[in-house]
Amino acid sequence: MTEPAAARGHGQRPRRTRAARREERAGFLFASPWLIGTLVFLIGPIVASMLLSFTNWNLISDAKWEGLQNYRDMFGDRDFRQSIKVTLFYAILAVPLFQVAGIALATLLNLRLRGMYLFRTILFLPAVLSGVAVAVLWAQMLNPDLGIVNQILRAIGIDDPPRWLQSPSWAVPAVVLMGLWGVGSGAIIYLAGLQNIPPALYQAAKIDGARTWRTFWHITLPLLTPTLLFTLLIGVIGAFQVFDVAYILGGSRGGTRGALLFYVLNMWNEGFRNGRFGYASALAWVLVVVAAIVIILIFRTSSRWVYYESEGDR
Amino acid sequence: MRPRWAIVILSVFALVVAACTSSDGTENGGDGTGVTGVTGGEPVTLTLWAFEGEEAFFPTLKERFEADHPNITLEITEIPEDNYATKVDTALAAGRPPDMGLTYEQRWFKAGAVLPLDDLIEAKSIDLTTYNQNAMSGCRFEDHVYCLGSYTGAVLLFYNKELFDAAGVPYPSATEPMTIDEFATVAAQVSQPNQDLAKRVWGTVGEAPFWWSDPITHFSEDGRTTQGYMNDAPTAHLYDVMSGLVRDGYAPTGSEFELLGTEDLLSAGQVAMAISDNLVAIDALETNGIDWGAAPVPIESSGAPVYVASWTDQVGVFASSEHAQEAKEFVAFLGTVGNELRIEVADQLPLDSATPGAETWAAESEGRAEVMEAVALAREAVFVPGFWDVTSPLWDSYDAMVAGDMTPQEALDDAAPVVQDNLDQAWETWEAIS
Repeated sequence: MTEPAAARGHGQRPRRTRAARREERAGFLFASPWLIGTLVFLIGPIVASMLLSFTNWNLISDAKWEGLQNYRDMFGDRDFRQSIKVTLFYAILAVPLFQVAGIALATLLNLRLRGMYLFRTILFLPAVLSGVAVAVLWAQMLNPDLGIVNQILRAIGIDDPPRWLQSPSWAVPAVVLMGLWGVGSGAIIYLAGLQNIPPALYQAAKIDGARTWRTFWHITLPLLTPTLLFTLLIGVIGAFQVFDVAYILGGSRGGTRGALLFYVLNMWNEGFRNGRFGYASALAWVLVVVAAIVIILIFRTSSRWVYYESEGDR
Repeated sequence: MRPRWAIVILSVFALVVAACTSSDGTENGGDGTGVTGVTGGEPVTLTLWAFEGEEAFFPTLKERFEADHPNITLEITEIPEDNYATKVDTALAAGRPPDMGLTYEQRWFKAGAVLPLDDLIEAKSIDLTTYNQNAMSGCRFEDHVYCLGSYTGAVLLFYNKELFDAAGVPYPSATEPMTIDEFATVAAQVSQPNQDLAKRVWGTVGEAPFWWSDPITHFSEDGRTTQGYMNDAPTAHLYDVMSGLVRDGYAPTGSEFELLGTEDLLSAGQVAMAISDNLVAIDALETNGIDWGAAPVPIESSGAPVYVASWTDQVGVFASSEHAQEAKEFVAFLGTVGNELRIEVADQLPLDSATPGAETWAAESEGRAEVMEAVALAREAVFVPGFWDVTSPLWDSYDAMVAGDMTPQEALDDAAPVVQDNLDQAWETWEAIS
């Protein structure tokens, strides 16, 4: 055996032709605007924010290295604790509720009824409206004294309805209620998942005498779990990122007694209102780490509850 | 082949860099032609960042300034108020602020990002003693003046004379403020209770006192301590009276107020008195044909000094301007001729009370004359860094008082440590600026 042949035998890549090298260079060349953009506008700021999280920087003076001080400061920061509390409360309340409501709505939208396309369009409409417009609209509807929601509640005999956004305990549920209005967008994703379930499975279940609930529990839900995994991840990430609605409804201070001081709003306040960009960067990194842990946990456990149809073929 | 590849890669890189550069191609107030730092008749372009909403004033200001300075072109960029400080902060960090801007953040002075104007003021013999001293507090830092303005915004008590006449109550004085107790008595007298919300007349609007009262009621004279000031007995009484007006129905509730708005209620004849700012209130009152008057806001107790919170457009020159002399020239123009244009074009109160035409502005109505008298009482204010963020917990405290969830003393005692923490943090951030 000659040496090159031996080398090839040990897994070395074959020598590329000039044309292949030229093609590779051309590929990199065409991708270079994106690669440079990613480097300058994504990776660069990520690295910069990591470094800034160890500094005291107010944007207009030079950054001063402070080591882990920003991370230590979080333990004594009242707003940090409040923002974690608000964000977790929202995530625990909103994420499961949106999933259940989305599936329920999608199941209804999957029925073969006259005018269903119209219903689908109507239910999807809130999803295409601007978040700011929706927030302003709901702020008026939830006005405790003159808003239509409390007027209806009073009309049906609830004398002392919640003060919604003005109440520290009802502000987050009010935001969740607003979110439910836009559940149509999630339902459309579930609807796509539902329509991918082979009708033959339902026919077989019917022949076997399965009732609606058993069919849903043993066929629909398992086959929807890949979609459920996707919407769960999107929902959790979305819950960690609430900003615009909180800012519009509660202002930068996060509403009554900080009831709407979501994590990202607090981070923005620290950076852009209090001029503590080092601390805000540290907050951002804590969010990244926490979000990463939650997402990894979801992925790790997904093998136990997500069913892929192709698994049945193995 | 290699040089050709190098050229191609460099070209791509250049395209990316060009795409990521400002679309107007200007830099540091340059005119886009590469000509920078030109004086003595050479063409110069000055950039000014300001808030939106000056449709009447800016075009005339630009026209008049350019007519007086034929070699200078003024480019004004209007920026929404909410994002203004953030935009300037990021521009400063990037080393590309405009030549001039509204310098509402005194930390920019401390950081050396804005040029002092003392030489200009001396050279132009600008007499600052006739300028609104409370508004000018925002332009002063460590015995230097960093900005000038063209108008006076002031927080005053505006009232509806017809509603006072109907109740047979004498008008408030334009120079002697009422005490908070006198104010509450008057508010009760001029109220006209009615079950029909549309026909009700409230005596006043129960505004949280921290934003309109003298900061000395909430802070020590050095601005570093709030505990023991914001929750002392006279301040608690101030809050008690104001929140009591809402609880007793002499002022609208927060949600009624939120939906209807102060100026709407005042100009609609549904509120007899409101603490508001002259820029919005005068326009609304005059547009709606209300016979109105103005007075200083109430004081904590008899003998307390009168306080008129004021502000102006605070235009300063950023230190990195390559046309600093021309930019200073513009600020001087704004602080003098600009004051005259404020009256002529925008029909607003100038910053300098000695501006020609100010008396004519005041002679238009009794209300305007009273505004002039009350504004003349403005004096320098205590400096509190990040005032609005520091005091933000007081909004909740006030809501709790109004709702009757806590007594004013309890609510203020509860908030005082939080506000003090905020204040300490704000001073720490302030002192880190160098």
